[in-house]
Amino acid sequence: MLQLDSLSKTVREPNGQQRRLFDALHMTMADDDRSIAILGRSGSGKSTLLRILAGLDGAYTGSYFHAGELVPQREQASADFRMRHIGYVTQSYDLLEDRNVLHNVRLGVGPGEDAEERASECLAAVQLEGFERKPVRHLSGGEAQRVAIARALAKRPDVVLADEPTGALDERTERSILDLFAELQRQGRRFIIATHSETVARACDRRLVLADGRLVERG
Amino acid sequence: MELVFDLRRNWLILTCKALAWALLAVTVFNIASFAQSTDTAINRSFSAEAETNMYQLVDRLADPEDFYEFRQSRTNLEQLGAFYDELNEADEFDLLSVFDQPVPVRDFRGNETFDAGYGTEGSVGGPYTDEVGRRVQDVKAVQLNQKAFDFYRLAVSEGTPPDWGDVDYSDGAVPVLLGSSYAGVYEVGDVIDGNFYTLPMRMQVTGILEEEASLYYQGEMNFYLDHHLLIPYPPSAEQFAAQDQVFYGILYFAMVNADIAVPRGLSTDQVLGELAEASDHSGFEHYAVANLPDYLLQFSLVKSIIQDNLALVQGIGVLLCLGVLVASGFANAQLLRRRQAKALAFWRLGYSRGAIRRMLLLTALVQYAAAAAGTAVGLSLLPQASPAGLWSAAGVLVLLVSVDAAHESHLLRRLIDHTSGRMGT
Repeated sequence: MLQLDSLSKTVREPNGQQRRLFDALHMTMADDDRSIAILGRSGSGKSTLLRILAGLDGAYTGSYFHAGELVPQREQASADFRMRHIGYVTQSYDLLEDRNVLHNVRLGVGPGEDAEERASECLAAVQLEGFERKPVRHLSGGEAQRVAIARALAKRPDVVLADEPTGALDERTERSILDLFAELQRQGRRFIIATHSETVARACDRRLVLADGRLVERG
Repeated sequence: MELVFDLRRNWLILTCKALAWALLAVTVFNIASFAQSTDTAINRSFSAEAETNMYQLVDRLADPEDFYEFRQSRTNLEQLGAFYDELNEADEFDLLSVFDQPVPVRDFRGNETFDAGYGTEGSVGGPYTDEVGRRVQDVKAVQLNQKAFDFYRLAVSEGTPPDWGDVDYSDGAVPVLLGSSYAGVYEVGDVIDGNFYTLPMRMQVTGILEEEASLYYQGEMNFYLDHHLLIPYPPSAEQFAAQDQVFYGILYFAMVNADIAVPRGLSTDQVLGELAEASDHSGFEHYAVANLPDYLLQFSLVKSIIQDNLALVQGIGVLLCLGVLVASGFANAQLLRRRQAKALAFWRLGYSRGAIRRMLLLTALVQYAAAAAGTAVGLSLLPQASPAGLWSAAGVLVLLVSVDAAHESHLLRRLIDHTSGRMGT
């Protein structure tokens, strides 16, 4: 279970003024929640919330629990937490263009596993068999997004966080990515997705709207 | 694996950096060895005692016939010898007797650089057969007295200086010194057979001079002795005349044509008075004295040029260091830009800052090793060896590594700290 308790965060605006981004925000992802969509207008703090959930941003007050344990805010400890429990897919995919698909997915494989075998399994899970040796710079947007998801899945995370996963994709590709999320959820994968797309939000079990520094459940 | 990817992607920048570092280290080595040899040269050639007035003593027998006639008289030669001895023993000044008479050496082991003609307008003579059928070669040689040896602070790096009091051309092997370039050609203790003027001479090597040993000779402030054979003059000139009038006739004239180093407090009149007194005592009158006002001028000028050049060269060295540091900084920024996506991807995957730094450190270590190897190759191509130069080159590499590692680490920290800002809210 993931739980944010009374989480507050202030950010500095480009004009130098302080803005309260989160104000005693609460959020819970129960063990049986398969997917949560976080909606909100631009600048509402969706990406920042995802970074906090990923352990990438420890500058907040309040508490963040994972499986009943307080998630550390210190950088080194939060990196360990991220390595063991969190898969993270960014809008820009973060793929390394000087290497092929297999090499990129292998980076996500945790220690003590056969990296190549595990990477191939994950590529199969995102329906990219046969793409192993393809350079990532030759991939389409949808293919690159699948590789990024495969890499996030490679370490068997408790939850995959995806930031605008279809933001740069056309409608048809968006549909195929959502089908993939649905298939992965059926296989037991769990997702928290920050999005402004109603289509993506409708594909998730729960929808939370981020507004005025708080999360509100929407039916 | 990451190392291979990183090297493949950034090899050009890394190679340029390593090359620039190696070139800088080799340059610093050169500057430091130049500074060291300059320091040695100044200490050796420009000591306070060397800051003296210099006079030149010459004979007045310029006409060959007069010269020949003079040497036919044993009395004349005895007077000449007595004149030399009195001046050589004077406490008021130093008689610096130096002459560069080449010496034919039998079965010479050295190469052409030791040949009397090498480096001069004359051609290299090479080995030839003398009038009695022996293979000989004329090699560069300098003859000098003890006062000149001491005045110019000549010293040996191997072996010992000759025992000046025991130098005797008529009895056994004559102790000689060799210039530093003779190291490995002849050893201390070796005997060299040759001829000094008309006298067959067995010369035993007692020592090898320090590198870049030099003296003032015929207007040249630094007449280097590295390729010369040094034959000491005997301590006294009076007992030899009878033995071989031809040889000693020539030798005494060579000995008496000398420089006189005079303390700056002694006036020209006083110097001339001392010479006149020696002339009265010995009976030798065929001498003349010339002041060498250019000696002090040249002395000061050369010293000043060396010191100014040293400061200039050191200044250039410092500027080069700064330039390479700045260029390395730009290269690091460029490297980080090329590694940014990778560092961020690893960071978001859960690799710690330390793990990413270690990953990049591996490439840095390869670059540092390449710079060290490049420096070693560069230094191996240089002719000179200099402990001070080696320490300086190593010091510069350590400085570059320290600053570079700190800078790369700083850039990486900024990049990771900046991650949040890059992603927006």
